Amino acid sequence: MGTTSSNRRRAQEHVLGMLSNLHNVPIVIYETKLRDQEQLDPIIPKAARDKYEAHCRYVQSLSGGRELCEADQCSRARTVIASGVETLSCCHAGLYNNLVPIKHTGDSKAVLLYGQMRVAGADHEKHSLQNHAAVVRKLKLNTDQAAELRRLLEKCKTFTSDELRKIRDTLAWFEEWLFTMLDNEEELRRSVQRVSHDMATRLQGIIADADMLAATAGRMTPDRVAALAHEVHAGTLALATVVQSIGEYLGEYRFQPNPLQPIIFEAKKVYNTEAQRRGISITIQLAKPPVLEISRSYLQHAINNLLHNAVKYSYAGAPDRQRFVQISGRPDADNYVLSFENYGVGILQTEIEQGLLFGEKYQGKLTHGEFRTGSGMGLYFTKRVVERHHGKITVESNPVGDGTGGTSSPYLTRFIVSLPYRQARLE
Amino acid sequence: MATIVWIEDDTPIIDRTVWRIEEAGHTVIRIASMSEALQRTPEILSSDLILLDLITPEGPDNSETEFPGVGFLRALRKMDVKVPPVVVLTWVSHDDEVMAQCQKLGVADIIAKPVSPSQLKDRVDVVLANQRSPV
Repeated sequence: MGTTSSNRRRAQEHVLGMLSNLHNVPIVIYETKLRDQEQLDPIIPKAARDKYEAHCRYVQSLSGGRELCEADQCSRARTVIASGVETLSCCHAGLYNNLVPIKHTGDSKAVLLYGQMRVAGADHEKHSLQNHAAVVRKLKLNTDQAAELRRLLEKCKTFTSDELRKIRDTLAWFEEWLFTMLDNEEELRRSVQRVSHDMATRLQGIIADADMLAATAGRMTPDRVAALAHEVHAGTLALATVVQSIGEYLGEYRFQPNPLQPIIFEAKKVYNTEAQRRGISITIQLAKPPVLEISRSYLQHAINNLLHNAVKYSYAGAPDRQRFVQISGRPDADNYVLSFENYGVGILQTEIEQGLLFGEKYQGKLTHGEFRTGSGMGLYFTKRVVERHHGKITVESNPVGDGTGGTSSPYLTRFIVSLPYRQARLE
Repeated sequence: MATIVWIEDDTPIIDRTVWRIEEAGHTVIRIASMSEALQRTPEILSSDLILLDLITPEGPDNSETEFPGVGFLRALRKMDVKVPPVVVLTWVSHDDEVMAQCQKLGVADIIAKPVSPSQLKDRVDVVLANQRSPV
């Protein structure tokens, strides 16, 4: 179920409280923690506590009683999480709870627990009295205390199986609501992780370069100082594109006519230093550079991603003729088509055919072992941005051979982005 | 002078950040993935210090609930051999659960990214000095 976010926790408390009031029984939830499945996190709203039976309150008021109750509930919740089977189970003091496992993405990760109650039927009564006797022994109750506990037990409401089923039925929508909350929370968590990682990576480069400049500028040649200063500048631009990507989650796209050429040159400016360090030249050839109706900041982010990928996965050690990234563009009816070409680490045909490459957190099989600075989210977001522009993105990648007959021959990889000139009539 | 293993997939970042440590005379071995780290375990175990990025991919455990670096550290601890001090580098230092796991696995220090080369060297020096001083 994961660490409960404070917002979701508050929402769950409200809903469980409402359900407790509706059925006049306490309804609580025990969740497993995200990275420590042994730990359970109980969510017990005040409204549920208010519904505790007098019997339960009495046990908890006795010395050692509260601890026994908590350990017993956790133990039974764990059993149901492990088995994944809904269970009517008797507590250590003789009252019943129904425990409903909540399965999210296949596994039971939480349990809804409702009751406390007596349940009709001779077997249930027998088990209840046995547990009552056991708690009297464990808590070393005197005769008066034992009698009082027995009196309170008998005062508890008895539920029929029909009544239990009715409560259970109304909890189904709670599960659905919770799953929606969990999915939204998971998406937000992943998005924040991705942005944090991207920002920290860019900042790390900036800090490292600035540190070197501050410490050794006096010993460097003017050219080296200029190169490092340029890297800091490029790093801040790259960071700016990450910051802009945060808006992607907010869905704020503002389409306006913008010339495409400055966006391409801006991307080159950001990654040219890294390309030069790897011995790669970036060439740009745009036929009839267009003015497109675009969201400039998001498209800049997408173009930056495509260029950065092309630079990252180009071979630095291949013959000179193969060390380049070429961006070209041409009009095609109502669209302008951009192509990003490079030689280097390729993409497998199966990854292209199955559309894996644009999947969230996916990293190409052939990139394993390469210097990777991404989180597998770059192409996923690039595709989202292109599609929000009513455009299309495709990729082709074919081995071209380096003449040695080896297995590591470079691939010619080409990402093709088709963007409409205008958005308004497509909206 | 010490031999330090730095496990981090973003090796260009290592190159730009490591210079203060190398300038001090230490040797830094770069390892770019967890699968490479697993292959080079003997070399890692014979080093003086491990710098470990928690999200370096291809860990021994593909569980989505655990960072690959934590899985790798867990695998080292299970080997029942002497492990050099481990310094974790991470941008998730705000995540109490992950930090608790790291501490449970006996890391010597946790450094929040981004970190300047000077800060990194200072923290590494402290861990190395603690290792040398008698307990």
